[in-house]
Amino acid sequence: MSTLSPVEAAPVSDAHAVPPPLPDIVVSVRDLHRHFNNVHAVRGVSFDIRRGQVVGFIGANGAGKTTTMRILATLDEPTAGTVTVNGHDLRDDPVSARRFIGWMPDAYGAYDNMTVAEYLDFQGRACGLPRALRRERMEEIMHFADLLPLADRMVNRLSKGQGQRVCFGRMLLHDPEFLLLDEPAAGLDPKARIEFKNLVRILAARGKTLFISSHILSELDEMCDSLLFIDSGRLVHHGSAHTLKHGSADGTAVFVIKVADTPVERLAEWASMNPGWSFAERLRDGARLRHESGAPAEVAAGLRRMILDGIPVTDFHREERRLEEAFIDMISNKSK
Amino acid sequence: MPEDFPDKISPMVVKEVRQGLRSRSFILSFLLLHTALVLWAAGFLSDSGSSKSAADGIFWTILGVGLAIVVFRAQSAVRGERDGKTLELLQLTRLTAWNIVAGKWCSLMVEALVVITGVLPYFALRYYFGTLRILQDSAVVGSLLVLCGLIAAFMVMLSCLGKLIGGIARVASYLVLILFGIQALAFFAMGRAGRAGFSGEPGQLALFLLLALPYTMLFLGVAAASVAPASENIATRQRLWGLALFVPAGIAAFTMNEQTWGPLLACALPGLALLALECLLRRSNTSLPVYAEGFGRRAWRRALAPLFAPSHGAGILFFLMLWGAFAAGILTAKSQGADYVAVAGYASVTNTLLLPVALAIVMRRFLKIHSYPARYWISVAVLTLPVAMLGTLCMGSFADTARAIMAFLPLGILVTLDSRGGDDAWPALIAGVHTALWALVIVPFLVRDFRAVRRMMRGERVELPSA
Repeated sequence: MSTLSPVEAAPVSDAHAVPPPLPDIVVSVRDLHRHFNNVHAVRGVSFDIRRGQVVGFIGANGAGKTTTMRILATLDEPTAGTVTVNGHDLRDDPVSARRFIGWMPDAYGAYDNMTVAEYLDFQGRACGLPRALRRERMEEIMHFADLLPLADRMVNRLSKGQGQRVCFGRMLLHDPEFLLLDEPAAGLDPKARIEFKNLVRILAARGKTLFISSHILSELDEMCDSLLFIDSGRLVHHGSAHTLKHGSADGTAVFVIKVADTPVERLAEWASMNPGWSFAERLRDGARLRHESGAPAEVAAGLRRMILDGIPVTDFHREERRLEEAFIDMISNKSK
Repeated sequence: MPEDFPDKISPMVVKEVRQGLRSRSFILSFLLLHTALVLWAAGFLSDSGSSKSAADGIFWTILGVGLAIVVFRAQSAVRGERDGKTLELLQLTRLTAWNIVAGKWCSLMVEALVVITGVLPYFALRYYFGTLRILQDSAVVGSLLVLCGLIAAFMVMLSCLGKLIGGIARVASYLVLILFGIQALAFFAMGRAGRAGFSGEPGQLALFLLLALPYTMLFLGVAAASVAPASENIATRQRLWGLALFVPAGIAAFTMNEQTWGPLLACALPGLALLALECLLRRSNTSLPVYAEGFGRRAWRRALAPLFAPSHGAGILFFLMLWGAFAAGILTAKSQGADYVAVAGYASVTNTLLLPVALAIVMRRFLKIHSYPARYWISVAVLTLPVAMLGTLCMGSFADTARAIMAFLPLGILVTLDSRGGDDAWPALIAGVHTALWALVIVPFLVRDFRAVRRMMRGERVELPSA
């Protein structure tokens, strides 16, 4: 499922090295900079997002995540660089670009003395939807986000999860193609999180492009096709969660091998005799072996040799890192 | 009422009216108003010997306080949206900044109307008491509504300002409003309002009504400007407003005498202030479609379009043109005595306007500053005006040479002339040279800016110079 963009192979450091955007690219960011007086919040960020992708945006507090999101939502202007959404430059023509953008901020804006139905109706009117279309869209969205039971409830008296669903519905009213969600699952209970993840999956299946920022990396792992890591205003990684979890800080891959009725020393001996493999750690009934590249063909050949060499392998799997570990590895690698 | 009636009016007005009429503060103030009026009626009925004028005064006071409570709620109008993070969501819709602030203001006016409509039965009671005078009372109610509109617009403007500036402005304005409020209450309490209209003088009432409109527009315009995102074109609208407010005053200035130009200046100032704020404080707009707006094929539109385009150069030129025309109108009246006072005074004021602009341009060239925020212009005003005032104070005792030096300072000439009351030609000459020097700094900037705007209108991407 993961379709990697041309820039994900290596973090972008030189804007001139980035190839031109492809036609099916919904969002194209090139050499984006944002200064706030002396603070350089975003430094030369470049990436592309293809149509229908769900992209997670990860970064520590103050990494430049929200600034980038706000620029993508046309709420802020870049100091330098270009951002296009569906071919519309956000600096030159933000008004046209907004038709394609749906923005869900981290805190949903609740109005006093207004019901959910009135709130959605107002937002629909503010987006310029004619009466008949507005009614149709509202009905569709209330079904989709399960808002019908809440239609007559006051917006400011909803729970956090219900409020997020209303905000989600509001974002979808004008049927945008590109959805920006800033910390959408923050503060939600487990049930609301599952509901939210389901909504994201349905939208992705309908061909919407989603850009989601979150601190809860395990959630992004489940929802996203690819992940963008930002640190100190710079993009440090753009790739799939799969790539990240199966890699390691030094680029090697770690495999857990369990054996039956065989001393673990045999695995260490085997690793020392096979090029590309090395012994990493002893386990109770096996060992962790490291492979220098983790290339599937080489690993498969290694496993075949291991069995041919008479090692009774009962379990062989690639060890996955947690995304949090991958993120910390990446940041510490960059700082070295 | 047709079912689709709300679709025919601004969504912002519908939303605000819905929220406003359901709000606890409105319901509470409405109930309190009626409780007070019921007590008033009961008191009046039970004591037939009480003074009619006193009862009348109490009635107007209660109504005034009720309206004030409604209007003062506007102080959190836009701040509430900002704090609740809903303003950004509005900015992403098709609503313009003007739609947002006008919606807030309209809803307050609707609430004020609801209050007044709710009070109508008590007017019938006043008829029964024999204190109702239809014409005068209508004038008072109309004046109260206009005053409500003016204060509501001012409050909406305050609610748009930043925390520091907004806070200072709020405290200052509350002090002023409380002082005026006490006066007004005393005025109403004495029962004069019912008998003599709003201020006792029909001419003054007309002048108040005439001036309330431009000032309401000024406040709402400033509010819209502070809410509008950088990509929104507010320049064209504000220049058209400036023109609309200014032209009648400018034309009238040619025909009025020296004694009556004050009200005209008061009428023209909101227009000039709108333009000054727009062209001096806002960043240049980078959104290309904004420049293509209203840019038709007709020659006159092509010629005028750059003047209304949102760029600093065009704004400054527009402002100076209007100021020049207005000053010429005043001068026509003032200079009938053929002295140099008015000429030099006008040039001195122009220099005051040009000085920060010229300084900004020079500094931008050397320091590569993109745009100047409000604090720059406030600093310039704070630094410049005391010098001019110092010059004013010292003028009377200084020697001629010192006065000649002081005349180079903005507003210095004006003061020199006022203190001398003379008819010498030299202040006018110095002022002329002074203005020409500033103009030399500004003109190349204006030319460059105009060229950039024309290129933007052809669809080219240009980094617009800022003031």
